Amino acid sequence: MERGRISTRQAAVLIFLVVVGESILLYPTVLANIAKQDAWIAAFLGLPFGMGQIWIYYRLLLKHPGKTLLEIIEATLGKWGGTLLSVWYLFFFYVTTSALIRETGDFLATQYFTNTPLRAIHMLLIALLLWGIYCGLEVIARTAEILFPLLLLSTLIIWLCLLPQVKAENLLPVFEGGSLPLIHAIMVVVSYPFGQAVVISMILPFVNRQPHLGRDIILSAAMGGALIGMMLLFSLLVLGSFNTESTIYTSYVLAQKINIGNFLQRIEAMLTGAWLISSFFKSVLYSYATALGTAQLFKLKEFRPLIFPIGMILFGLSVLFAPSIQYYLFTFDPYWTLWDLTNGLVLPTLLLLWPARLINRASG
Amino acid sequence: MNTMQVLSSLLTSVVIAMIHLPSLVRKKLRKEAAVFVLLLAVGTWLFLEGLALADNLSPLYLIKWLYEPISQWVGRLLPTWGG
Repeated sequence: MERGRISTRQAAVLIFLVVVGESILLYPTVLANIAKQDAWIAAFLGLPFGMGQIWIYYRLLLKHPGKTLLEIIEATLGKWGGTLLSVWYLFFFYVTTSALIRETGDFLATQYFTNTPLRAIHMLLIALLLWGIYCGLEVIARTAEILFPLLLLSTLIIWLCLLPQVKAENLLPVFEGGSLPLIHAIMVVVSYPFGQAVVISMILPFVNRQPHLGRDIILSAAMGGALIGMMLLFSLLVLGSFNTESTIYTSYVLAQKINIGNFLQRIEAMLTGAWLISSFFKSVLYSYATALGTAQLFKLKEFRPLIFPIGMILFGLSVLFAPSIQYYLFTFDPYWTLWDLTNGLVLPTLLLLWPARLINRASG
Repeated sequence: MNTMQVLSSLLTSVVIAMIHLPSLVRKKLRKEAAVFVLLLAVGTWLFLEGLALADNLSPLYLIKWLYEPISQWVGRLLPTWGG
């Protein structure tokens, strides 16, 4: 179905971008809401768990070489159970893709294109996504390789320019809320940037087999986690915990604060560029997984004819997705955490631990 | 939803079907064509609801309903849980 093959380096870049994703903008708000000024500790304590999750996806690939997540599910659980769980995962892919489109659309419609209707922005984003998945995985991976240094460069410049405004006392008092908020925040770290990285098990089978694939993807995911963790740390250091949790697009406000000698100002567009790159690649991989998964569920030979109907579904879902940004970012947050934990950690672990003799019985 | 929205979503799906369906039928890819029509039907409906800005069809309500018991249980353990 997918004839393209990508290299280990491209896979590592894609995984980095998936982990960074739209989190670079929303992650500080979500975590600071839970753990206040200790949120950065949770962000870094969560990294080993996140790396463990990527290791689980890699082990799944080793256990079922050449199979995507939905094929692994089918091979493990047999026809009926496999179809049921595949539909569950496809629902997750559809909803997450529309969530990513909606998050991008909401941000652009409130901060940049204030007079443009949200649906027009969604239409353009979806056209771009459909074009991406029509071109195939190789093109997506190569584009990611080109744009990835740009993301690193703009984040580095923003961090450097923020250094004069850092106030270390913003992090005090440490451990004010005790350990329970930290545990909650670590759950969010495991579920939200890393749990949603489950989409990589839809593309890992198309990576050329090289001995250090596992090490590379785990390290690059950890670097992605470290990047958003640093973003959170800078938000706390510059804005303080109250402003970090009460602003929706914290990193964006953070970049607006940059002012060096009343000359270097308003470089938040660089952050927007970085954020658009990472969230575009996350959403294009999610929509790719959606299209590929739909075709695999029905055992089709080709997924490209389905792209336009899927685009229509995504357009509808991205508008219907949630009544407001308040709903999907704060009211729905606990359920979102549990849902991502189920799909990103619990189910892959169960699939990995499923005894081999049951697999043979189910598929034989 | 008004007539304009219904017409535009129907028109979009007819155009998409006219582009892709003939080649699928010609290549005798029956299953592909069936799935295509199914997805297009769902797509037309959701596209229409999206154009009409329906606000009671969120897929998140289903997830919320499904995870409500476990969320309440976790909420008793973690004071910051919310929900």
